[in-house]
Amino acid sequence: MSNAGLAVRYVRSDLHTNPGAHLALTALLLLSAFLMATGAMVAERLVGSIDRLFEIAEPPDFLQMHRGDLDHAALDAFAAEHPEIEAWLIEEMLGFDGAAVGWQHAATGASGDLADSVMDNLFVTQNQEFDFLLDAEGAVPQPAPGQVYVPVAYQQSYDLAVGDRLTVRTDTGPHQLQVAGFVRDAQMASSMSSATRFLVSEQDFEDLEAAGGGAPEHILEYRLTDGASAGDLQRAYEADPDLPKNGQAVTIGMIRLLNALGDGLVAVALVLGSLVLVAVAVINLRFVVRGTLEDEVREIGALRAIGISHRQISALYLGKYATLTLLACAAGGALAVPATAGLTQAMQVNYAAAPAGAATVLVPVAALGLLGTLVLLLCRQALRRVGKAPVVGALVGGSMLSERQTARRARRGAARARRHRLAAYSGTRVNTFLARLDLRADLRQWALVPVVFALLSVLMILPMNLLSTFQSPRFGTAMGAPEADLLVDLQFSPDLEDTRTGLLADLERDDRVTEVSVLATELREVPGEDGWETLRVQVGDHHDAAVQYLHGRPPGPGQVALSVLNAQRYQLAVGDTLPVRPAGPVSSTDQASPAVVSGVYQDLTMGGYTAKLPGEPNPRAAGYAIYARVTEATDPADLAAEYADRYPTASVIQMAEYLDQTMSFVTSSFRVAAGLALAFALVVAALISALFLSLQLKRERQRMGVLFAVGFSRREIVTQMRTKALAAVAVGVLGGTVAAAAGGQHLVDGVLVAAGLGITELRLFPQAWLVYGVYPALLVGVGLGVSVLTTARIRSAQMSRWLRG
Amino acid sequence: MTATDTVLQASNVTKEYPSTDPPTPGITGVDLQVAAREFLAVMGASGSGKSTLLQVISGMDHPTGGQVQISGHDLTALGDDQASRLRLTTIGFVFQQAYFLRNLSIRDNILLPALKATPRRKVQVLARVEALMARFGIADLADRAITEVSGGQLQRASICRALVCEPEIVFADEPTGSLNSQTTREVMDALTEVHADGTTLVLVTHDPTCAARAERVVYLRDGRLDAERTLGPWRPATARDREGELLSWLTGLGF
Ligand SMILES: Nc1ncnc2c1ncn2[C@@H]1O[C@H](COP(=O)(O)OP(=O)(O)OP(=O)(O)O)[C@@H](O)[C@H]1O
Ligand SMILES: [Mg+2]
Repeated sequence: MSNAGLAVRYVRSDLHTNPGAHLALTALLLLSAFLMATGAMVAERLVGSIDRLFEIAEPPDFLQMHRGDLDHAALDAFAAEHPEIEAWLIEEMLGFDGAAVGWQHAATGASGDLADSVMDNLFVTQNQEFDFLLDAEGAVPQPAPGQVYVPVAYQQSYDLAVGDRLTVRTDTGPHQLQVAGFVRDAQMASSMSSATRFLVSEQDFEDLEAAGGGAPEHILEYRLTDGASAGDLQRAYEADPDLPKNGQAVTIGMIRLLNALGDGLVAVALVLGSLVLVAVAVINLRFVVRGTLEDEVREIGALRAIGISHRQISALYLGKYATLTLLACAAGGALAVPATAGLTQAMQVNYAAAPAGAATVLVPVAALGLLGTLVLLLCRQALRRVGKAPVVGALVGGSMLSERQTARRARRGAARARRHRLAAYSGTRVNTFLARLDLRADLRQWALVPVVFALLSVLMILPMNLLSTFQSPRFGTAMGAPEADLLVDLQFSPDLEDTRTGLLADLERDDRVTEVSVLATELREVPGEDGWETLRVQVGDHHDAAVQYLHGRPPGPGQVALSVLNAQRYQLAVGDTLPVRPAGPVSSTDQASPAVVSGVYQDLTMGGYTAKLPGEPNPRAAGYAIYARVTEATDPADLAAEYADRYPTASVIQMAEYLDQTMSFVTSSFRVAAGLALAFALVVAALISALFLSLQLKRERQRMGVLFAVGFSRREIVTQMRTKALAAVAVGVLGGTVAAAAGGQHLVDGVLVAAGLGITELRLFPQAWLVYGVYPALLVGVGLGVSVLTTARIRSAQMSRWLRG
Repeated sequence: MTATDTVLQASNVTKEYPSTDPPTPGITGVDLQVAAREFLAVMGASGSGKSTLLQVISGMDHPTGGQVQISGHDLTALGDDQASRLRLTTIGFVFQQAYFLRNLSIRDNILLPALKATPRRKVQVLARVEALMARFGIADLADRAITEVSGGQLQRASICRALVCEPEIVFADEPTGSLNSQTTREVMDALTEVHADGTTLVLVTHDPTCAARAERVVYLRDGRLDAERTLGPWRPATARDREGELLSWLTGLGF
């Protein structure tokens, strides 16, 4: 038989006789491959899904909501003047209060209404030109009379199914509809949107309109030849005094931004998370490959002793590892497919399922290819070291060090032995001394454990911190919403003033309410690029609202505070001056008074472009926001329900509920991400500490044999090993936790800036006891548990055998 | 010979290695007594079970069957803590390869068991370590790492470590197996001194010259005690004669 044939047989039998190490190595490879492929696929899917939804739904580049009458002539004139408008339309909508929309499950008979939703429920017909609502298949449904397509968000929260009944309570009695499907809405898909659209037939729409009870609204929608000029169109639109502006104006950029904030952040977190895990896996692979090669170094020596060249041996081992890597990548990639499907399910529901393209396959394959190459390079490097090892050393000592390396190692050992002297040790705990000494001496090996555990701590803590941030009431104040228990939103109704005075008087009189503040929504004009532009401002006393300012402070007399987006738009910083004049045809430059920018704040409400002015609310304001605080004993939910009943045209909600629902999309995604990160971190921690400790146990066999022979008990030897493991784990967890606590904020800020989501600062509000208490304890617990399990075999080991190494 | 004079008592001791199929018999039905202050040599061909016997009767390994008593303690019945205490204070080991902790200096390796046995008497213990090293000629190597000394010196350090807790019995498995003739003599002189000081000694060896120093030699064949010969106390003057006598006996056994 040829030498090579012998070697092939040797390697093949080696896979049989040494299954443990190979199994562990394969498991680790598989896990890395799985993570790498999943991360890549989720990112690809998400980008694809959002693009796909935008592509088929054709959302407008600029839209203006409006309640009230329309000046059609002015609109036509505006469209004619602007050749960059490719198409435009007026969408008619009927807004119904959540309490007026009831549902009944066909299957169970259970029923309820949408009263606890803070969304505006808008009934519309399908558009013919653009801005389509899409069904689950990405098609453009046309409901038949009697049918309704419900927003996917409601499908999830009310567990609705096709065939269920929807009842709209109108002024002249209930209007029955049957759920025919669910629609995705490119324009309003985002969690930040405060409205959602129901799709009905032309006939039902007319019936609903005639029946009364719905608030008519319009969306004026524009599609441009160049979507990038949406900002210019918005400015031109707002500069035209005759155009309808009684409502929110939104550009495609804002829509995309809001989408990105919801799901983009989750995707960013996912990709970052899988990168961390892959880093962990690669660090560990290095250790495992070297460890197994060290294990086999005697065999390699034997092969070389019978005359097989180093090149042949290298090729054989590389072949072996390449096979394992290939298997792991194939299996990991296969497992990633269902995992990706599960992870992206929520995304796919809200966005369109992207068709599988070349990228769908290429992205994960490239990721896996990258991983495979990395692993093989690591193996080759390790094999090269083995190649340099002298045959005799390998055969006799089982060492893969060259003579020079052996000498160097000996010198280092000697220096250490002189430095850390047992004779000079003042304590009486010999076991502790030995454990500490070993940790220091084998620092290079042991360093793996703290590094991995630190990375895993960060991986666990950061998503959880983001989640608790989004759930925190203080997050609301950082995002523009004052701290309050109750929010009353008064908008554009004919009896606005009566409602406001009545409501305010009631609230002031109510002894369950401790504080009331009013902000009026008014329009002002400020100088923009092309003349005066409309600026939406909140007027009132801003000092008692606990809105957090990025820079500066709330505005006093003669001052104005701007949202980040407005500060960017007008290129203003704290201390700069902005001329402000009342909106409307009567105003002129003379009436503009300069206001000094007192502060800049982040705002996610009202589209993000807001400003705050001090002063008394103008009685002719477009709308009001009333914030109230209640006594300890009062349940804000009850109070909200009570006032909502008394003032049907006002939207009265619990602030916590409002924030909760506004952020629910993000929080539910982050709950999944945080849960996954936790599970993965714990599994990876267990797997890696098991691998590391079993290899380390092998390395330390002789040492343990010596200790046993000179009179250490098995229990003491076990304890030494566990002490070392626990110390390494604890150092890592501590380091990781401190890093996450101290650097997590910077990391998140950096990612946010890099992701270009328009939020410049996201102050984290961690749940300290959980992430800095329970999480580290969990990780340490896993490390300890694994060390207990792996060191258990010391109790039954044949020490005379271990003594020989 | 009364029971109190017996340091080691092995009855019908058997050791099988279950890792092979069928299990390898290491030793089978061995009965052995070692008296206090005796010097016993165990000989036999390669693979005859010498190391196995030594490991089982010294408490490094559990026998598959039979009983072992050292200083009246039944090894097979002792718990982990008691067994380790026995290894620490009553038993000393010298192996063919000098197994040491590589992160400790020679002195610290010797000191380790003693400090573990009596952590609060460090001054006395250190003095004893220095005395032992001086006696076996390695005092000037005390601060060296184990990689910085020769095999013979390392083996003398092993002897110091085995003696540091003043054991009743020392087990040595081919302590000269990897030494040249000069250092072999030095190490054997050291072991002879140990015995002369009153320590019971069980020595496994291949080398008739080494075995000739013993008072009694047992011969193992295929895991069973095959023969035994009493040589009486050793004196340098009679060394040649004893060696010759032992060799012809061994030749008769087919060694
Ligand atoms: N850990 C083990 N597992 C399986 N078999 C073993 C083990 N240790 C020893 N053996 C076998 O037990 C028998 C006795 O071995 P042992 O090492 O005791 O012989 P020995 O007389 O010391 O040999 P040598 O002179 O080569 O040291 C041999 O057949 C050996 O292969
Ligand atoms: Mg042997």
